[in-house]
Amino acid sequence: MDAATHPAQGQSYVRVLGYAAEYDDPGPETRRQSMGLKLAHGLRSSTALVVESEWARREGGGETDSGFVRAGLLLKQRFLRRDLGPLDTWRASVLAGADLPGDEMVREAAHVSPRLGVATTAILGRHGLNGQIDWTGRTGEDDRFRLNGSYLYRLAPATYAVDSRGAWYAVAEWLNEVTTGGDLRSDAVTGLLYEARNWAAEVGLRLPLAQDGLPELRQEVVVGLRWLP
Amino acid sequence: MKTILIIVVLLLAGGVKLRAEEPEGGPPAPPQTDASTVVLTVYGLSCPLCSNNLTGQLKRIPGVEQVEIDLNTGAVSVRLAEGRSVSRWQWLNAVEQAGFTLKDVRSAASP
Repeated sequence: MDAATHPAQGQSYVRVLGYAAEYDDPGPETRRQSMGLKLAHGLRSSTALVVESEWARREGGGETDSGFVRAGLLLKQRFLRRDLGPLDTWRASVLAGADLPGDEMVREAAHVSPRLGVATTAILGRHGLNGQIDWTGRTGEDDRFRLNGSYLYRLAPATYAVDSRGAWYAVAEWLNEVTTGGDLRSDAVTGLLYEARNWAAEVGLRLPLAQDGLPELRQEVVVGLRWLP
Repeated sequence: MKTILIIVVLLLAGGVKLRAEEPEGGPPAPPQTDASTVVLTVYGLSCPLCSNNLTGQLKRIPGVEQVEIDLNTGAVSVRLAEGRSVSRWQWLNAVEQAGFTLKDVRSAASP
């Protein structure tokens, strides 16, 4: 999910995510492995350009498909920043852009799909909260809304020191997707995140809470790396 | 809905200033700091990875040799090359461009 965090002006970061999922439907058992690449660049202190892309391989029912799922181009404009203490902050950004369609067998949509959303992030001591609401307009298909939330708890260090080089976090996410056609999915993700000064690594397990009309997820493992050059 | 989206994208592309808290015109009379070590107090550092944005911006200032950040207190110790000075406006600009809030600037004795 997106957060209201931005690279500084003139700086960039790279994020690579790998997913391995199993679905009960469509087909008796469908496996999907995918990789996402995200590049973000700070145009100004409050404006970032984000380029996303995703590739996937899907196997099930004796067939295998693979290819380019989508590419996304987003502008993030921060409109709220309240820095309340050395660590503490509350930020919010608007996200606007579009998803471009990928290869026919694995793509999410057949046409360019506009996206608009808002993300907010609050850090209060060892606690972090993110919220995101996102709309994707899809030509010839149902529009999609996503409502996501996450909570992070800093496990260690309890208190930062001058020589602290990184931090461990426990992460819980609640990811929801609903379409104008009434399809629904609600998933929970639990994971672990380590942040160093210029890189971060994360691992998570996604499990379904409720689903109706969308491919039925059994579970998904997510691993990710971020790097600030 | 798509019309609204187009308007929003155009506004963003035009760099419309939505943030009200950004400084307007900067501080009136920027005093110079001239010391080998300067300690900035910065708010909103959030996390180790986020604070790397600040390190990157500060190191772009000519004369800045080393940056040490204490996330617990927001104290950012910046070591300057001998004979170099940096104005308060330059500190403020770098911290703002990194996306944080500068609360204080003070000189410190050389280590």
